[in-house]
Amino acid sequence: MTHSKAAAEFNKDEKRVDWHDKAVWFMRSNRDKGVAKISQWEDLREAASQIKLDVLSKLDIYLEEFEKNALANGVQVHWAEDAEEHNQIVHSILQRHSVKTLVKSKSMLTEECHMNPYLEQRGIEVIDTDLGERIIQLAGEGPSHITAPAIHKKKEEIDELFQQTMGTTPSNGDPQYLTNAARVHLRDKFLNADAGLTGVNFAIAESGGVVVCTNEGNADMGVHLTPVHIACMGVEKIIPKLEHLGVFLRLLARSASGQSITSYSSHFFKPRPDQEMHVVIVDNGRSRHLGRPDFRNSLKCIRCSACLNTCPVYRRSGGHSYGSVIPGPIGSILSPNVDLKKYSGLPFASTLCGSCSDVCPVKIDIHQQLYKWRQVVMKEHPDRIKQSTMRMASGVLSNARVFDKLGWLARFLLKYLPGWMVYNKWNTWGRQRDFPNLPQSNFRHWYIKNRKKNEQ
Amino acid sequence: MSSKTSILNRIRENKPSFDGTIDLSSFLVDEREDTLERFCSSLAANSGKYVLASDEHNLNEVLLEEVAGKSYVDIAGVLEVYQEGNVLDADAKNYKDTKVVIFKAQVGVAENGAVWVDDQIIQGLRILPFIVEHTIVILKQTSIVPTMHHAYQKIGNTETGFGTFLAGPSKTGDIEQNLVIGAHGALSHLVVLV
Repeated sequence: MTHSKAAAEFNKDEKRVDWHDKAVWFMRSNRDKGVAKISQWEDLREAASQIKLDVLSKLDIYLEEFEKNALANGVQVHWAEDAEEHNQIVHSILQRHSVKTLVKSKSMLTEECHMNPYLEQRGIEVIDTDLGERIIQLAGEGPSHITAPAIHKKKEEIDELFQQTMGTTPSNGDPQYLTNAARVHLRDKFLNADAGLTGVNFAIAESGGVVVCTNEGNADMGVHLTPVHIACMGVEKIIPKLEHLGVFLRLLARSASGQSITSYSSHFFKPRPDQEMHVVIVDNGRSRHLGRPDFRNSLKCIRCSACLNTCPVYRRSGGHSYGSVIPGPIGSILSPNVDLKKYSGLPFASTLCGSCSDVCPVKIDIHQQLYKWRQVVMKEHPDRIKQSTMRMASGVLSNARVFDKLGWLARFLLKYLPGWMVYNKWNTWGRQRDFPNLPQSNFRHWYIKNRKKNEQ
Repeated sequence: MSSKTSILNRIRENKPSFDGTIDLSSFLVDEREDTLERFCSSLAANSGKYVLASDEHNLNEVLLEEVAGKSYVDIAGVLEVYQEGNVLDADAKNYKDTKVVIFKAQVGVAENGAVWVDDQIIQGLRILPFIVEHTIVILKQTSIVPTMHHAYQKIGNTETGFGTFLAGPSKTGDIEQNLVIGAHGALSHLVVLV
């Protein structure tokens, strides 16, 4: 389903749209409050953008430096060309340790690789431990947001879901009660899991360490209680130095929800003496994306979700309408690189208002990339109807005489034609809009008439 | 060709050029002197608590009141009354019923209320700050630095296997954005400033 069709579906329930809009906007307004407290905010954004540009320009060097230092720290490093290889690597590590249960903290990369079904088909129980992730896992859905994966779910729905899956008692959607129920339920999983898997927020080249940020503490609970830690990262997660974290950790949480920092920002340099640690470095199209000068900046993304929260289209169409692993404006410029045909509609899921670029902590030119992707899409997957309409419009608008005559005709017809002839399936513009009451004449005629009057 | 080689080759072919230099020194300038106040208000915003202890005796009193009969691990080794059974256990899972952990931190950050906790501080028992219900951190007021930049400057030279910036209790907003304290980690977080 295209984004516009899925969004139309979502918009059938107007109250729900309003509720979703408000829930997401809450994060955006909190972001503003958090950002306002930092006088150096714009300097931080600039520094972050520059550091990431430096990363992209020396990515091969930093990756090798990272690997060398991680190996020296006793961390095993693996490289995966694509999702399939990533899943194979993770599976082989788990198999070697006879892992039956894996506790996992949030990782958009493993979503991208569809790792959970891959492992489940091979007899491994995968337990998502971030509360939002657990909710959607129990519901059999995918995330609809990067940092708040279950933002589309109402608390009453979560209540019912927990009753069915965890045997909780009805609580009218009491967040405190439901969170505590999940805490108890997942604590048992943490204590009995055989391995822990995390994503990676930042990987430090100079020390071979990885940083994982959570508010819940689920990444740490999983990793510190199990004998195997697997950390999965895209190649672009590298930063050169530890000191650069000062910039990114000041930006990340404030951009996401306005909080000054997440409750836990954990730095993993070496495994525990009784633990094995693995880092899986994944490409999956990123190095190809790096070769697109117009679009490579999107690899700077630190997955904060600020662009989702500010986007009027995201807020009113919901994350699932994008049909991509990463929704919202950033998803709309990353996904066409993965599959241009499948995601050809996403660059159009925007008003190009530019708010996404304004809030982006690493200064990705998101709305400009959306616009540029549109050019690519129309070139490679032309929409004949749209093209011929545009040609017709250009013919009319570039010829004053034709424009004038057709303007007169339109004013005449809109006045006298019955409604069904104006508002029908060919008039897509008119689906959510009404024509205003049209004036008797156009500006040109009015001007000519009035100038004569004034000259007299 | 291995995956590593082909990934790196493609990156070399496709990467942009950039010869700028990254200079973060301007972020180290901080002339404000209210680091303590900033630390306290940042911590409170994270739903953490703080208390000022006037001297060692007072510190002990504060801690005893907090612990009050709960099972605890005093890694800081400051409590005068040493509870029986307070012996470090190497098996992380054995701390599942421990209620309180007390440790000393060497760095606190004014801007966000976080303290740095590493392997040395928690004696390699990485699970401790996460598995217990209440974390208590003892921090010298003079150890508070303005921002994360200063914090990394301070911890940059110490080699450790693991370290975390602990900024408050565990929390979640995953149910309709309602803030709930106590997701998977600690239910409360107290910094005792000495």
